[in-house]
This record gives sequence, structure tokens and C-alpha cells, in this order.
Amino acid sequence: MRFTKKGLSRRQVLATSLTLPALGSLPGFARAAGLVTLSEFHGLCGTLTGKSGLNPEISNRILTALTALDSSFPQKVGSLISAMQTYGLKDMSDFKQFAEQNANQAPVAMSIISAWYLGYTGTPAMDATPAVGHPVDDATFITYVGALMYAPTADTTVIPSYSRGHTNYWVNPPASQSAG
Amino acid sequence: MTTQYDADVIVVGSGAVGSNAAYELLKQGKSVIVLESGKWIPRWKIVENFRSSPRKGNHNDPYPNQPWAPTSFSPDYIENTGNFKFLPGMLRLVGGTTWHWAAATWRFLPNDMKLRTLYGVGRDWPISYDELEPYYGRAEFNLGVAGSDTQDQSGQGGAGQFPHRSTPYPVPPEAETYYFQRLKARLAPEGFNFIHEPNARTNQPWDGRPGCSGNNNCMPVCPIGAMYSGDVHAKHVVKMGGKVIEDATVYKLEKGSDGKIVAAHYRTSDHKDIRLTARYFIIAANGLETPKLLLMSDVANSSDQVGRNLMDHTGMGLQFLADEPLWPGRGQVQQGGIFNWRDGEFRREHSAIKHALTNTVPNRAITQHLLSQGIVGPELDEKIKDWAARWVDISSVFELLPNPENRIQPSAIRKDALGIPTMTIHYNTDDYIERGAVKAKADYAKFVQTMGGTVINDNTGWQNRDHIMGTVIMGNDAKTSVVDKDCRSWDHSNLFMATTGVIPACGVVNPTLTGVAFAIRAADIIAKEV
Repeated sequence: MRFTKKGLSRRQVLATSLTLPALGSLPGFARAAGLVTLSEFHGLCGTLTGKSGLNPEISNRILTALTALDSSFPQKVGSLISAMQTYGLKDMSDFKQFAEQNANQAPVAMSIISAWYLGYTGTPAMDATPAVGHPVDDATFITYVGALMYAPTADTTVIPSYSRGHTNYWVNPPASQSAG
Repeated sequence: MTTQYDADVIVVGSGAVGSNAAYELLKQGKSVIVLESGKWIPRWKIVENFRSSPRKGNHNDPYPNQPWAPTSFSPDYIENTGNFKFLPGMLRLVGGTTWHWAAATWRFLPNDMKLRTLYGVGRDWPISYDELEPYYGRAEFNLGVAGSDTQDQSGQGGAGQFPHRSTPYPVPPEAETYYFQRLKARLAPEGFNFIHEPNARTNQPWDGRPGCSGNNNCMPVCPIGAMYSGDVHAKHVVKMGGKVIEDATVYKLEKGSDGKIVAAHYRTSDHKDIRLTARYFIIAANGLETPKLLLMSDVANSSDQVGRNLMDHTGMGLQFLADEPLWPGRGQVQQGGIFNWRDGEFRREHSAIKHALTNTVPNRAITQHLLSQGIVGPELDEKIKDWAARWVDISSVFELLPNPENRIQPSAIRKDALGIPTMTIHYNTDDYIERGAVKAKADYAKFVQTMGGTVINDNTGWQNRDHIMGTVIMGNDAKTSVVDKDCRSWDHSNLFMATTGVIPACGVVNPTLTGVAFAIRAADIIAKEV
């Protein structure tokens, strides 16, 4: 099975880990518990986000965090991969239709996409000021600057707490947008 | 026999208000001990805590939350019994909650201080604007406030400076964000009066602080310290020979036989109890902890008003997408707003209202919203980019009236890790702000219509705004108030309250600057007597 152009099939991963045991100790290649390898999961992340060149360490963190929330998560990922293969989902433009036909799989996909975009898994007990209470705080940090939600505005706004500007730069619209 | 004291003055609380009081006393040669329940923590650690937190919308999260000094979001910190869940975001560390404010430093209006006389509702302040004005100027200097000397801050569209000032703002206003400019250009012709917000976020070097460079993270922490926080003056206190004692939770004020306060008792995290004496005492432990301490100590409450009249600028919000790119999120997290409802005859009927323009990088809110709608793939990236350019976030606040039934009390049954009672709060919203809400929602509809907008959320319900007032209320009559216009307890001549809790009618502006101004004034009075 092949999920992205750069992704490895399960057979390839198994073969690789058998023939190159040292690789198994590298971050991103450690075998996760359950029915999915990290490499498979990383390939899935590429498909679900539509991105190439994702950081495998972030995939690793997401797999670990979502498995901590739900011990059957690796099995659910396996089912999702099978369902995507059966459907032939290669492009996320088709995801809505896939989700309609695979109601059990869509939340699993969304939990992975959400982790990549927001940079955390689970639900923070108080996500906003004014505080919104949730009964249980099961949020886990994944990444900040690696959160995919910031990439679309990289040329217009900072990732909060970082600065690219100087005092009063904000008087103008973004340079990338003002030309023409 | 000469009585020996541990200090001339003990200040309970090291936030912006308490630290400024201590600083002013040290300037006048007095010895000062500041007692702080939390700890010193360097800015970089808070910034790292923020960057590695999954709770970036929770402004308390990057801060220390110890069993003996919990933040207000600790689950057992407040028990609510009213119709509104009163839960402000309060911190416990040296510098206090100004670590995560947006540094709005408004002066109240002369009319805010005469609410009862002019409009027949609420209470009057026992002090006039003119009497407080010089202390506003000194507070602005200490905090390095940037503001405009030429605008009518009452929001009534006047031509020049109002209210009057005897000194200019120490720092000129920062440039207007493009977002603010565009909203003003389109909404002002509809009659909405835009006012720049004076703020303690310096835009040029001031008192060791750098100018703001637009990191857009005033809440929960300014990574570079351009924004003022109370630790600035806590550090000055130490440099000037004052003492700041951490891990010192004051749980009792001890009365002497002459009606004066003779000692403060504090407990450390390892349960050591220590008694310190002083000639004078300033309680600056914020608008909730201050009345709790007075009630636990059975002091200052002959009026039965301690802890009562609790007011916040209970608010609501609006988010919509404008029909043009406005590029919010560039610069500081807020810059001003629309002030037509700040003052006028309407206050007889309904609350004053402030509409603030929030300018935070909106990606998280937008992405959470889009993901909840199942939007993924290329459409998700496109929509984040498009919405982030057009996102408008209005945060409105309302003027609640003082109501003795809205109150904070020590819990009769629950205690914290130090064995000190936690707090119970009873807080109901009132018809005065409900009538104000009708006006605010009419404004919301007009904003959306004028900006060719698409509403994301225009019905948020009431929200906390973390502006705590009224709980040690100031007045002219010992029977109906806790402190006089000098912030002095009617019951104990050497006990002063330095907190926004003294404010008796809350207007619609952020109260910290006024708390600092009152604290400086109280420090001057104490310095003459000690």
C-alpha cells in the first residue's frame, strides 16, 4: 500500500527494519504499538494534510499522544488506512465524500489533522479567556511553530511571541500584499 | 519605651498596585517589606512555558500554579453561587496579574465619579477627578504609558483633549494598525467614535524596557517586557533597599488594643507561620484576596461592606469576517475601540459600553472553527489565509452597578493546601447591563452591515473581563463604605487598601491605572504620617 509518493508501504517498512536494525532506534522509525508503524503513520499524515516534507518527529508525537488518549488508536489508524485504500482516497479534495461514506473513520482522520494544524491533541480544560470549562483536560502539546495553521499566513502575521518586525511596522498592510 | 517594628510599612501583594505603593514609600525614605504568596520567576521561563503549552488560550497556563499559591483557574479556587460563573484570570507571582493584561491604562472620566449625582444610579466616588489627576500623571509616568494628548477620551466626539491633563503622556502613541485604520475609515462615517487606547506598552525605551516590536502576545506574556508588568517596580523596590518576601501568604491581620493593626501573619509553603510588625499596612492582594483577608481577620468591616459590591466589566463579544482584508494580528493585541456609549444621559437607563477592537493573530480561533466544520485539505489552507485577513473581533464591556448581594466571602467549609479558606463568590448580572446589551447588539448589527460582514459569532453570552472592583468600596460614609477617599480603613487608621477593589462605580475602562494612582496617593499620605 502506498499513501504518498514518498511514503513507504508496510512491506517495505518491515523489510527495511529487518535488514537495517539500526534504523529502528532512530526517531521516526521506532515501531509504534499496535497495528501501524510510525512510517505508515507518517505517510498517512502526509496524505491527510496534503503536505510533503512533514517533520517525522511531529508525526511520532501525534501518534504517541493520540494513543495515550485512546489505546485502540493504532488499530483505528489501521482501519482508516484500509478504508482510504478501499475508497482510493489520494487527494484531500475528496475527503468530504470519503467521510460521508466512512462515518467511523472520519473522526480518526480529523483527530490527526487537528493535531497537525493546531499543534496539540485532546481538549484543554480552559481553552479561552474568558475561560470555558471542560470536565477533563486531556490536552497534550505537540508543536508550536510547526503547527500547520500558521503556514498560510507566514507572510502576513507573526506566530505570537515571535517578532519579525520593528516598532510601528503595523501601520502598513503586509508588504507581500500591498504591491500592485 | 520605644516600640520596635520590622518595617515602617508592610505591603501585602507585589502586583502593579502594591509594588508602586512600596516604591513610592521607599522614594520617601521609608522602610518597606512586601509580602508575596507566589515566587519570582524570570520572563524567559514564562515565555517557554507558553510556547510549549497546549492551552494557549488559557492565559493563566504558563504561570506557576502551586498548591499554596494557585492561579484562579485552579479548580477549587472559587466556588460560585450566583447566576454567572465569576472566574477572572488572576495570577500568584511577584508582579501579579499585570504579567498578562493588555496594559490598557485609561483614566476614568469626571462623570464616572459622579454617577449617582448625575444619573441617579450606582454610587458616587468620594473624590473628584481634579483631586486624583496629579496621581494619574505619576502613575502614567511609572508605567511608561503611551497615549494621545489631543483626543476626547469620553467618546463623545469632542475636538480636543478630554479629560484634562496637567502633564503630557510620557510616551507618544504608537502608530495605528492598518486594521484599526480601515475599521475607523469605514465605521466612523456611520457615527462611531474611535479612540486610541492609552497603554503601558512602551514604543520607545522606557525605564529599562524596550519598545514594542509587535510580538502580538501581550496576553499571556510579553516576551520582551515592552509591556509593563508589576515586577518592574518589585525589582525597583529591591534595588532601593526594600524587601520582597516570596512564598509568604498572609492569612491574618492582627488588631491591637488601640484599634490599629499591629502585625501581619503569613504562612510559608512548608507551613511555617511568621508574624511581622509595622507602623502601617497596605493590603494590595487584588480585589478578591484583599477582602478575603479582611474578612478572615475580622477587621475593617464595621460597615458590613467588605467583599460586597463586587463588580466586573462583564462583557460579550462579536466575531465576523469583513469584506476586505484588514490584516489583524499585526502589532499589539488591542489598540482602542468605539466609545460612543462611554458617557451620557442614557446612563440613567442602561449601562455604559465600550467596544474594544481585538487584534490577536486569529489563526487558532479560525482553524478550530473550520476543523469543527470538517474543512480539510487545500480548502482549509485557503480559508485560513482568507479568513485571517478579514477577521474582526470585538470585545465589549459593560458597566455593572454596585450591588451588595454580589460578594466574595471566605468559604465556610473549604480550605486550600495551607489550611486557609478558599473563596465563595455570588455574582448576578443585572438589568442595567441587560439593557446595555440590547444597544451593543444593535451596534454589532451595524458593524457587520457596514463592513459587508459575515457573522461568525454574535451571541457569546456574558463573559468574564477580569476587572475586579467594589469589594473594599470607597465612600464618604463609614457606615456604607470600607475605606475613605485616601484608601484608609474607616476602622483602623493605619490600614490602607491598594487595589482596584476600592473603586465604587466601575465605568467601562480597565481599572489598573486608577488602582496605581490611588496607591501612589495613599503612599504619599502614609509617608507623611510614618
